Amino acid sequence: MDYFTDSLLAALRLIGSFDAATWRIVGTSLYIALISTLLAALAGIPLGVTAALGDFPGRRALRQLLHTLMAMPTVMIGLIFYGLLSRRGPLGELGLLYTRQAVILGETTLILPIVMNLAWQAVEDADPALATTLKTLGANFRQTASYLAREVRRALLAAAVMGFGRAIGEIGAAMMLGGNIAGLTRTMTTAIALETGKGEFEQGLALGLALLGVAGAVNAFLFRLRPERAP
Amino acid sequence: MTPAYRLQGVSWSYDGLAPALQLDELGIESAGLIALVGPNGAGKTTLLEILAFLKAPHEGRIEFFGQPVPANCPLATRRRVTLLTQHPKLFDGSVLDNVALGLKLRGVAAPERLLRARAALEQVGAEQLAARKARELSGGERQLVALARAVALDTEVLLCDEPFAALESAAATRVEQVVTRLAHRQGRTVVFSTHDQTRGMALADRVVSLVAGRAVAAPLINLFHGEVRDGAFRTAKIDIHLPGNVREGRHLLVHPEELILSLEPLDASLRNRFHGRVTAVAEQGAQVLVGVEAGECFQALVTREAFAELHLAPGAPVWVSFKATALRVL
Repeated sequence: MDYFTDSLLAALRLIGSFDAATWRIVGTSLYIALISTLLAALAGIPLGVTAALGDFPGRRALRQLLHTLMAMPTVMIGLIFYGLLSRRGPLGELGLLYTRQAVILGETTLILPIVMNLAWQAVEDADPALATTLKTLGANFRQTASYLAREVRRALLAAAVMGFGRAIGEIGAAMMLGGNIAGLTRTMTTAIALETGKGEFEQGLALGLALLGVAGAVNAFLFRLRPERAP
Repeated sequence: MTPAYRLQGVSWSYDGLAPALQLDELGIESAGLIALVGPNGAGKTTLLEILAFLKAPHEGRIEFFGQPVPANCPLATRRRVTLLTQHPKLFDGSVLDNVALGLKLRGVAAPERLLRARAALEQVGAEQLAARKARELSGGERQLVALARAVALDTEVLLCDEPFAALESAAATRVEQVVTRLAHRQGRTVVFSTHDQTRGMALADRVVSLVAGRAVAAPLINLFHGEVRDGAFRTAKIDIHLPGNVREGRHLLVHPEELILSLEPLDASLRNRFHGRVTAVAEQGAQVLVGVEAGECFQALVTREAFAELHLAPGAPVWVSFKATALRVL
């Protein structure tokens, strides 16, 4: 047996015997990712739906910006908020650096463009006859947007789930803004980096497998969301 | 009475293309049934969307019941018109919910809107569908439910894009009854488009014919397609002489009253003379519509006296003549 296989087996055994501290790491990860997803969805879905239906100057430029931001390196988000939140930064007085709130702020910013862009896409992909039908029945802009959102709700939920997947799996912002403080801001990704750095490869691998499990569950959920074909 | 619509110099084009619609002047009387006829691509749907204030014309002005309509049409004006599109969408929920949707969007309280939705379903003869799920309906049922949804709003103007196209004949008859009643008994203005000219002429108080985005006065019989070359309009089968000033066009129209029928060829000043035989004879009010196969199929409208003198019957040989100046090329 080689090193990797031994470690994998050991990791599987470890998952079965996760202690409270490890479960706390998993909990922190889920908590941060869920709150970030909720915030990003609350802002990103209405913004994306509105932008898709609207006609305003800079619409194309905004779309391009969102595409760019979707590919934004997470350390870049970390770097920017580190600059803003650090003691000497413009928001330093809030004392947010190395707190869960700081990580949530970073993750929300990271996934907001994803959620908004996918919501935009969902509305664009919807049958244009839906919006026309609503208008012919006398719907105003807000009503058109809300009924259309209801029609594409599965795709909007999928957009949020996609954001969640990105938030829970990223490490750059979590490390730079949370500081990997045990029991407070230590997430699965930062813990994996730390354990591996310490030479605790098995512990890292166990957490990695747990992370993979969460990703698998998210994917299974997404798969079930695939829209039924409307007649 | 103030006309429902007055359009002046209205044109609309897809990005960078030739105008899909170009109307010098078009009035639509209120409280009547108006048919919009024309071949596919004539601009019927575009015109209906402009009348529904879903599209703003790129040029020209529109008056709606005497009031000029700004390019950015206010919601209150848009809500005075309902358009039933050719492929209307139903939303998740029951048929009744769908029929009540327009009323809900207007803030009508639930008890009243359900009452009105039921009445509208009854009007189109689809009350038995009320509790069904909208997504489970057949194509024809969906069309009826969409009509009920439009009727439930009871707006001053109802526009219908090809309302008969997807329907079997019993349902189509029902739709005819509904729109006729709205126009004639309830004083609503109903405009419907159809590619079926006979139905349009039979049903409507007035027919607006569209060819290549332009309104033409003549009914769309004797409409030929082809191209202008060397002073003549060439269809696939015959050449029609044109006045000297006509240089281009892809459609040619001759009003049926401009066609002269004779047993012998007429004098040479009529440059367009075609020999053929009678294929159909039909009474049309005080006149007689005679179909003549002479390369292309012509339809001539002649007086009863003239018809009697000619002793025409199906199969009889006949000459069709008309002046080059009686043509309209588009």
